[in-house]
Amino acid sequence: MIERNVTIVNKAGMHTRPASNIVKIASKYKADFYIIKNGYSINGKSIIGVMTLAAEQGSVLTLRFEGEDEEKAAKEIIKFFEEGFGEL
Amino acid sequence: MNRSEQIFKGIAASKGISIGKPFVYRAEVPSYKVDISPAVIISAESEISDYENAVSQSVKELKKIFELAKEKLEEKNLQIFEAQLSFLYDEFFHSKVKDRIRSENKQAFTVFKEEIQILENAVVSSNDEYIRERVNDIEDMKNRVLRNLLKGRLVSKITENSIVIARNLTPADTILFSNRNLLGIATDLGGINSHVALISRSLRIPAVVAMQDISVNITSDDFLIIDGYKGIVIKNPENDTIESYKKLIEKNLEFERKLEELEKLPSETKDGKSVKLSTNLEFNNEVDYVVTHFGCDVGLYRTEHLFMELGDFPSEEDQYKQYKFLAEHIYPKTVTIRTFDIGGDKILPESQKELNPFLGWRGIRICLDKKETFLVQLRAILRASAGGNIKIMLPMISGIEEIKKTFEYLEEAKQQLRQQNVRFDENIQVGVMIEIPSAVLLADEIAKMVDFFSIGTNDLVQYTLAVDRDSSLVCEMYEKFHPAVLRMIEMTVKAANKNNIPVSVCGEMASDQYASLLLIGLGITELSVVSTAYLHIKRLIRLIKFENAQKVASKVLTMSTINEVKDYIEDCFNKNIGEKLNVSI
Repeated sequence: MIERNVTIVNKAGMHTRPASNIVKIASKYKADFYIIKNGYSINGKSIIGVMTLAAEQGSVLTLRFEGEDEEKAAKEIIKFFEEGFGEL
Repeated sequence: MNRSEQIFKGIAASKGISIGKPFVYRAEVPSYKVDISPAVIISAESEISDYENAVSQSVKELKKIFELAKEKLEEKNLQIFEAQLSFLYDEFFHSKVKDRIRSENKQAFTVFKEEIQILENAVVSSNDEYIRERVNDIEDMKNRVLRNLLKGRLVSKITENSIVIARNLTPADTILFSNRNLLGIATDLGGINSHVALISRSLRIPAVVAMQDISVNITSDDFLIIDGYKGIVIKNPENDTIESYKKLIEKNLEFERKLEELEKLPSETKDGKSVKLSTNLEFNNEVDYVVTHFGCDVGLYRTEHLFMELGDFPSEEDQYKQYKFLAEHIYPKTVTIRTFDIGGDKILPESQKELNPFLGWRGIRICLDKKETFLVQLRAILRASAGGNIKIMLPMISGIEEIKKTFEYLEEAKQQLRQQNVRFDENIQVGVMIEIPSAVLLADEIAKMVDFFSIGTNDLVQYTLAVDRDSSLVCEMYEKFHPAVLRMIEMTVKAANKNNIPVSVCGEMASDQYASLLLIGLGITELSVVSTAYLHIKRLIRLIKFENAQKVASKVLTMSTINEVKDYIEDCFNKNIGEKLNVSI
């Protein structure tokens, strides 16, 4: 299991477009993917779940990956967060 | 329960009387109160399959809307559809909903709504404005799914032979109902020209609209009489009331039977002027009646219902089949097919709706913008025209450019068919609806380009007077006897006569006996009326003298107020009468 904290850096936050991209990326991997915010955990492969977090700029989230390809999944998704979902 | 007789008043929108049980329809999704008692669930599995159908139907709709909107909307707005689609593709969310339906034995409707509510609450509580705004997308998606969920439920639930009671019916709702044998419709909202009224009249069922709050005062345990002449609904009538209404129904049937004697007689005035009388048509189930009883032309076939039933533009093949069915049944009489007259409000999602849909993207404007869709319809019509009894009519024409462009498209469609060696009527006639004042002002030029005019009085009144007929605040100003409207019609007739093309009226005005007298006098050569009014209007035509109708019309054209016109016409009718409308002018 891999767990990492990330901060939302882009201005518009984790809105619909990034949320749907996160789901798209996560779905490529077998590993389970959870996003945790303030103790509330959602399935990162569900766009509705991701939207429910309503994470704005500055929010700190915990990403949890669990499964055979967890390393690859973690690498790509964390990168996507760090790049501000390509909106910086 | 209070079982004593109670009368609710509204506006009579479609004639007729029925006695029967109500079907109370609550369609407005946001306020829909769902019974969550487990008893109403037939089985969790059937709830789940309803849910799956509703979701896949919603996906289908959204994809189509996306296609349609692609060219019209900015990139930023398109993302809304993509987002909504991705919501609908969320399998994790769906399995959560399905799991809860199974484990809690609740309706799909309730569970879905609760789960979406969680999402909405989270989004609304965000500190970020942009994220908060996403709630509109979620709302739109939610309503779409809920609507489809209800629709599926509705079709299986509407009891035949019942009187539908509703807050309001959208055109799509009404069409849904039209496939059932209904006894009548009563709604809280709506006006005499609202869609529900028009459809009720074409289905020959009584309708009463603008009843304020009937939808909350009737339950499925009640028993009703709906009186579409007086515009009332009687809840739990006394036996005496029922008896007297039964007698009235019998009397009306007798009058109808008398009218039927007119079926075989020509449509001409006392002094031998023949007035062409044809009928408007929307639904297939009216075709047989029209053919066997009237044997007349179809002066207006509306194609919008094909779109609304599907929530999408039908394929060329489906349209071809439909038009061919009509043309073959009506043969040797002709059918005038009006190309899609859809409002942008039927296509665009909630968040993109125009503030003034009647002044917005509708009718020919959509068709010309969506060339492929238009070509599909034109090809379908052309293919069905091989028998030579189809005409094309264009709605919402406001100027010459639209006609020119349509002719380019039509030529392109013809060329495509020629290349494939498909037979069609090379000389198919094309006419335009005259319903926008600018078209009236350009009528002389337009008449040189087309084969016929048909005046759509409903829109012409609305656009001439700048009155929204669905707005309860101003609908009283919606007045077909407004002198300006009558002069618009006169101008149109003059231009048509000058250029030797026929001019018909296919709006509601043609179906009104008072107004049709005027129209004949103004020189309208053809009246296309709703089938329920066909014999009434024929009776009127046979009772009047053309010479006198002309006198009435020219006198009216000198008048400058609505009241003058109305009083004078009423007086003309009353003077010569024993019984009301027993006209002999």
